[in-house]
Amino acid sequence: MAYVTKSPWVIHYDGSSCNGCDIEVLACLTPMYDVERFGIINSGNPKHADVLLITGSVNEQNKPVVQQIYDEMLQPKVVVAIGACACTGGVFRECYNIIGGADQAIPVDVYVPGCAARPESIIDGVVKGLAVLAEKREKVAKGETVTEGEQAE
Amino acid sequence: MISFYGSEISYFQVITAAVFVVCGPLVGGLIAGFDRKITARMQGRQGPPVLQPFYDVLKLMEKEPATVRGSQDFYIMTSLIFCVITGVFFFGGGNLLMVIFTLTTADILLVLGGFASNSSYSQIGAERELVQLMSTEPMIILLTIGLFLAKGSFGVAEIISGGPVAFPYLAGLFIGVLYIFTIKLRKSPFDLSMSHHMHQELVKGLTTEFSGRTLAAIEMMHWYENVIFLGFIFLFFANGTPLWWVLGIVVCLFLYFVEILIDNTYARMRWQFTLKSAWAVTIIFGGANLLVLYYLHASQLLS
Amino acid sequence: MELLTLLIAMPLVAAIILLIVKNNSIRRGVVFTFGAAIALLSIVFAVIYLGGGPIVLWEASDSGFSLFAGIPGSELGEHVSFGMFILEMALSAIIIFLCVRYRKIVPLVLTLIQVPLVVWFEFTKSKAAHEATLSFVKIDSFSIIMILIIGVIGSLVCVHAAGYMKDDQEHADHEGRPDRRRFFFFVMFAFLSAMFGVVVSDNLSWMLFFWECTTICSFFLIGYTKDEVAIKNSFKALAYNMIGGIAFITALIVMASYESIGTLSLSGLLDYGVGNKAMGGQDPVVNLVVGLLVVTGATKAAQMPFSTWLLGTMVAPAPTSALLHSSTMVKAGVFLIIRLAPLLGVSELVTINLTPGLLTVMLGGVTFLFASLAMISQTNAKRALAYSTIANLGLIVACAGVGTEASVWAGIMLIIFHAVTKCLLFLCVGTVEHRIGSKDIEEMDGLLGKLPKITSYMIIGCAAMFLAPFGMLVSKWAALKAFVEAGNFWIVMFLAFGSAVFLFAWTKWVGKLTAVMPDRENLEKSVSFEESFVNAFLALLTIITAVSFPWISDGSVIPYLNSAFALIPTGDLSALSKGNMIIMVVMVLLLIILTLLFYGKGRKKNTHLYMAGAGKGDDLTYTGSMQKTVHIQNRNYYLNDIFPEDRMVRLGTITSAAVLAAVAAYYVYIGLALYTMLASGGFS
Repeated sequence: MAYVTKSPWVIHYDGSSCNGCDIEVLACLTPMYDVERFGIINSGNPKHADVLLITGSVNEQNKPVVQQIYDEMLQPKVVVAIGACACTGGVFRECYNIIGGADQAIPVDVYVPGCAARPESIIDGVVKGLAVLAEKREKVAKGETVTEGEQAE
Repeated sequence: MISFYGSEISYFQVITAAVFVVCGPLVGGLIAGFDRKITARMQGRQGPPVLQPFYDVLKLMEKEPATVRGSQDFYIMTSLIFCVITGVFFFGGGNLLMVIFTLTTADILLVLGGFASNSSYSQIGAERELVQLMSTEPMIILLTIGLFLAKGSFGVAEIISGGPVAFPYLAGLFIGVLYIFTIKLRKSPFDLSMSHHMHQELVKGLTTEFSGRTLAAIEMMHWYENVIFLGFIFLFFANGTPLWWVLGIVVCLFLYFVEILIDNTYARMRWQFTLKSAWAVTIIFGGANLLVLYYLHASQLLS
Repeated sequence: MELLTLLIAMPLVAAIILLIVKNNSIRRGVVFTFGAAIALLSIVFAVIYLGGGPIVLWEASDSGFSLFAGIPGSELGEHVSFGMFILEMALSAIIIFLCVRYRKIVPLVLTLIQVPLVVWFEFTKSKAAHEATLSFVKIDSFSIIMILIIGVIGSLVCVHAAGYMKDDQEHADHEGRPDRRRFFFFVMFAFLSAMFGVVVSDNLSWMLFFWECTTICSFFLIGYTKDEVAIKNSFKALAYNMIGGIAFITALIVMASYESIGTLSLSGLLDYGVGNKAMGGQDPVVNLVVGLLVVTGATKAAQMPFSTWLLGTMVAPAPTSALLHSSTMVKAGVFLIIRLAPLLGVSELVTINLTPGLLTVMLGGVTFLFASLAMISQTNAKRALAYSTIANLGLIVACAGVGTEASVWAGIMLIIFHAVTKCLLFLCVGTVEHRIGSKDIEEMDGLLGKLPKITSYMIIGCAAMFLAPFGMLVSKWAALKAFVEAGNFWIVMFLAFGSAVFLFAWTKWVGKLTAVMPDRENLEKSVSFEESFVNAFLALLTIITAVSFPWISDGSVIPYLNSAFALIPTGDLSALSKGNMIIMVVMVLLLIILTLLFYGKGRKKNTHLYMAGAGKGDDLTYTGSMQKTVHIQNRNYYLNDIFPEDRMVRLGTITSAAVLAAVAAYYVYIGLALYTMLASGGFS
């Protein structure tokens, strides 16, 4: 059984952005949305986390940081790109130092659109990510290598 | 009865020890589950399922095994083993001093696990855990001595099976133990070393570099420990009669509820405050109580 | 008696040979051979005598030498005493000369106080007292434990020194220090000889002679490097030990002058005191003598307020520290105090007669607490070890002061474990210091990679110092139990806080040692054979003592307690039940097995340290601001603002000095009362 779907611990990383999506991520933890209902805990540590919530676009400076955090997470893991910037680069796309969306640095599993993404859709995205997690968990259990970056939404 | 180098161990003691090994994590996990549920309710949230701590641990067991340094997992596993041994001594009715010293060893091994990776975050966490240990150790030693003076024995089996109820003699110590109980449970305002909740200035403190099964082991150790500490509170009330047994368990649960309340209403304290206040409480309440016991009761109890 | 003489003479012979030998490799050979011989001889001695009751080897009627079969022991003893007196005067002359040469007033004054006392004693009291003395040399299980410690650990230190001093001389040549190694080894071995003398002498005037010899040996060892600090500290040590010497000779004079005691033998004093105690009475004069001897022991055992000299010994080479801290010197102090334990005790209501017991407990307890507190702030490994020695000795002294069988059991076990473990740690720190060029604990980052074996031994040693289920902690547990049962509140409080502090001070050091850093250069090859052999052997010995302590207790400590407390039994012989001891042994074994099976054996994927995503991938550096590469540096907590060393030591010194002053004032009061009320009393 994939217990990972019952206790997905998340880590959130904010790239180049207006911080709007990041605030919405934290809003999910408030009594209003209370994601702990689903066992979701906000952990600041990639080694403990199962889900990487990434907001904002990736630039030259934070690209290695994002990659390192992703690498330090242990399988099974999923990446949820939240908001327009994380999905595509958003309004910052044309800036000289911006590489683009999160998928330019690391494999992304779920894209959550919106500017800023609403908490409901963030939760929805994470829940979609859970299905991917379960799938990956099966593969880890069987000893297969996990292919990165299946897309949803 | 089993004879072990002159000490008699009853089958009942063997059974309770075995029950602890099996049910310790179940009880500890359930308590943690209710803890999270009640915490959520206090914050106006619905909260996770009661079984959530078990899901977490099972999830961690499923994760890909990885470590920073091969040696760091060794300390944690040894620590867990010593924690279980401590519980076996305690619930098997063994010597209280042996219980606290073994438990200290388990804690020290945990701290060494934090040091082993040479990570800055986990080292500061380990250092804080040590401060927490130093803050609580005198009180725990005084508690065992108080129990000895009140009951005439260091043996848990003797303490719970008869004699007067220790609480009236140890009221001061009880207050002191309540204070360090928060530190021992690593709850806010003293969640210095592992920072639960959203306190993340040290990432996850001592546990930063641990993942998967090893992290699950730390969690399980925490459950075992909590059960043992509740056991310590229980010793204040047990005297062999069912009424006091029930009362003891009720008090344990009530105190845990109070701890949750404190957890949710206090901001984090600094380690300096933790150390100073814990020692002050130990000297004022523990010391005074012990002094009174010595001069008022010791002569008749010891004779 | 011949065997015992051989035991005392053998180190002396080695000392003289080493004073002559100039070639380093011959010296190493001599040290190794004699070290092995002394260790073997002490083991043989132990095998012959261990487990039996006390045996008087040299008594008034018979000296025990077949050569002098016809001559009464007391007559021969008097001659020997006179010889010792002459030697002591010669040594005093040297001391006076050195004091004048280096312009040291305090030790000079103390010597000038002591010498007339000794002379006066020799010419007025000594003869009569010797005639009344029944036993001169006496051994029992406790002295055999000490002989084993001195013989085995002491010779190991000497062997280690043979390797260590070679490196040390290289440093010395660099600094332009002359080669004084011949003198060094001479004193080291002479020290062992004097220590053997201390632990077997039953005649206290003989013990005083050997006692003074250890003082002078340590004086020379501390001043070995002859630089300014070394000279200052060596005279400091001398002065403090002189205070003890004066207390000792005063005690002898009182003993010899008081008709009821009359004798100079320690066992005579104990028999008389214990006899009184068994009858429910006490003799204030005996208490005075015991009090003076406790002060003597406390100076040598570096108890507060006399503790500072032991810190000063840290300027000497590591083997000296190891020798002073583990098997000799300070152990002589606790040896004497534990010997007196049957006359101490605090369990009854505090009456005038119990003052020496109370004094001992308070000195030990205060020392334990404040030395532990001072240890927290030490980054210098040797100073940290020194404070831990003082603290542990404090605990031992407190054990003796409580004076029940259970507490003395704990005290003797502490002596054994402490000797082995502290020796291991000092020697390891010495070896490490030569490799990394520092004895700072903070410089020991990643030491496990640089010196894997030595560091592992150090971890074993540190763990054995404070962790259950190892011996020191087991003894501490026993001590705590004995203190509680004896019903002394203050010592229990001291112990509760002191052990918490101890835990902190040790764990952070062990943590530093266990931290693994990648890519450390292995320096182990440069360690000399003697050093690696001795360190390994001591680590093994640490584990062996931890595993075999229930049997060590049965074979040596219990027989001693049986005889020493025969008339005044105080309940349980050992504080711990056999079952609990066996459980502890099983736990040690479990820890060893787990370590051997699993330490570092996991085959898991390796990840990197979490450095907030900015790590460079080598786990040692990260990308800082402006893209700079920054090394991570981890430092321990030393709590300097909460427990500053100087204030802790001052507090401890003031408290213990106050205790001492109170007791002294009490004695003066009692003395005045005695003189006014019983002017015609027992004084001759």
